[in-house]
Amino acid sequence: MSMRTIGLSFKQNKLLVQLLLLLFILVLFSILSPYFLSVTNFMNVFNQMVEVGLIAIPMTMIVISGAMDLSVGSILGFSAVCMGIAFEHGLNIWASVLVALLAGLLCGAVNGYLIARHRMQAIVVTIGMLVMLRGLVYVLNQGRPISGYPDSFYFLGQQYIAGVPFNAIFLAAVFLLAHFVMKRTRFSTYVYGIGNNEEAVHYSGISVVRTRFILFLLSGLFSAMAGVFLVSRLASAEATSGTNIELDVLTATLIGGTHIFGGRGSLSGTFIGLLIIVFLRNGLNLLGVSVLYQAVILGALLLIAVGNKQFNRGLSR
Amino acid sequence: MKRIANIHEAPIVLFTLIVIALFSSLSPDFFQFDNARLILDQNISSFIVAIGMTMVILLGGMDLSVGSVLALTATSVGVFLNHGVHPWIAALLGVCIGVLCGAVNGYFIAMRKIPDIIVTLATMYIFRGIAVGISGGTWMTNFPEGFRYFGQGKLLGMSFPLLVAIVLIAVFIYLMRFTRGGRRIYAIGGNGSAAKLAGISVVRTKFTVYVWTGMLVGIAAVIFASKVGSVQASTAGSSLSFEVMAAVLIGGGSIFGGVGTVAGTMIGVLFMGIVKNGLIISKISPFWVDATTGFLIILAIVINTLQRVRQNKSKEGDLV
Repeated sequence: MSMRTIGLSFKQNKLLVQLLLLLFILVLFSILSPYFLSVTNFMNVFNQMVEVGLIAIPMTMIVISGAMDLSVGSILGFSAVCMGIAFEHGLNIWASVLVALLAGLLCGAVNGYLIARHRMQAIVVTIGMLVMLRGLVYVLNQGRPISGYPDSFYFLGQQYIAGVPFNAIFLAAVFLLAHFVMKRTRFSTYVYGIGNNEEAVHYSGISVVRTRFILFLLSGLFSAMAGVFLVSRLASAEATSGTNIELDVLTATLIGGTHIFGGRGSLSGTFIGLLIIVFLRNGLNLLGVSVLYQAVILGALLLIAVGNKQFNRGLSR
Repeated sequence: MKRIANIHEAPIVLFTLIVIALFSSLSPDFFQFDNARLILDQNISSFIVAIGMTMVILLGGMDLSVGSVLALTATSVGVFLNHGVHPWIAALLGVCIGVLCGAVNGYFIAMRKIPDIIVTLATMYIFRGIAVGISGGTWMTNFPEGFRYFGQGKLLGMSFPLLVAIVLIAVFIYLMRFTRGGRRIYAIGGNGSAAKLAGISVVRTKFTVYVWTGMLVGIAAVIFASKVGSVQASTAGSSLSFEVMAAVLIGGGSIFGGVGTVAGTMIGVLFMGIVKNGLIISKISPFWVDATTGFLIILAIVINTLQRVRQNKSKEGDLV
């Protein structure tokens, strides 16, 4: 009987379950691989998690608002390649970064215009953008990688400050800022409101269209930022950058307790989900598991995360 | 004239004719009998998979995993063949694997009530991973002579795969229009709660549709493997689900469910095939093909939404 109550209280306290899962992964890989538990490896993981982490922030907000953005990986690739091409045409590197961010904003604006203004289905529009932008990336750079950036640019993705990677510090700062926004501002209330009852929000005199539009704009901007950090970290802009990143981002978001039908979720949960995903990937990499098998494991995790939520909802009814 | 305009498929037929005229003026090689046969031949798998996707979209769902199911089935058939299994038995086992994949999707979507997009996104990666695992990361080749019949054989003077596709299309047009099972799919897609109140088992119908889709993808995969002669698990059918989805939407299917026909979808597949073929024949960079597919998906949803708005305007006093 006591086991049952413990089980129930675990399910009610999502954060505890997530932390336990994270702890389990950390302990498991520490036992399995001698290289896992070290400061160097942890800093390496923090360095690599920035792209997924940055995109997970707007993705959490979008899922809370009851939609989904599958085009993030392609926006990342598109803006990375735009930056590379701008730089090749002799633009200053920081001006090229601006070009990348503008490209991301533009893609986000197209998504937002179609989804928010014309109430089209988010999934189909973003799938269309996913396929189209990836195609445009190949059209733009003919599939070749673009590299050869100045050293000052690598500061973003490769510099360590007091032993901590700069991009991880940046990610932590952005997460804190976003967390504040989602806890303390009116905007977050609108986002949660749209996820719970769009019509009620509409009849309260709040512009659902504008809120939705801003969310997709943010998603485009953050994906572009992730693209810039990725190029800086890997020192080259490739046509395949960001492929399948939506699996990592969505899994992190949904494991983090954000409800797939919207209305519920938090950025702190997403952050723990993010840590689970990146440490899992890192551990599997250290054990030499192929990327495609990692995708199998992540896919299964995604199903379990959402399926379990469903189970929870059944209990609370 | 008015009656023609009222046919559901009229806009897409018109659209297809315009595109044919456009490519014919761009390249003299386009409007040829051989090229027409080539387009049909290249899109056999898409035709068959699109039947299943039409049913799924009619339910208001979506199946992103069809490409991975195709890869998994084709790879397993390759493994069976290389172990000396008789071609017909291997093909049958392949279709069974397709059914099994469909059942997995159906179980999570219908019984566990997890949103279809999440389930099929997850199984898209899972099936693809398993396929690569089975193949060991190498190309599946060296299919025996007898297996070639499925993709290249002739029956009654017609290409065997084309015959299979035509039979399947005819059967499913009949099933969707005139049988109880088909009308149930339309009913659920049109208004799920009303269908449930009318005593239709939504769970069973959904599950069945995903199983049928799996079976159709299985058949398509056998034909694909036999036609191509070599299968790479990591890339086979990688953009199939997006293309087929675009075809259904272009063919007049509504993403909200309840609207669409198998015949319309077939014209949609033909349209996609013509565009792809035309882009390559008129010597536009092959890189443009993917970009065009994505653009067509967006165009399809735009048209879809416009139609919905127009329909709603004709229903007076109806909000939304």
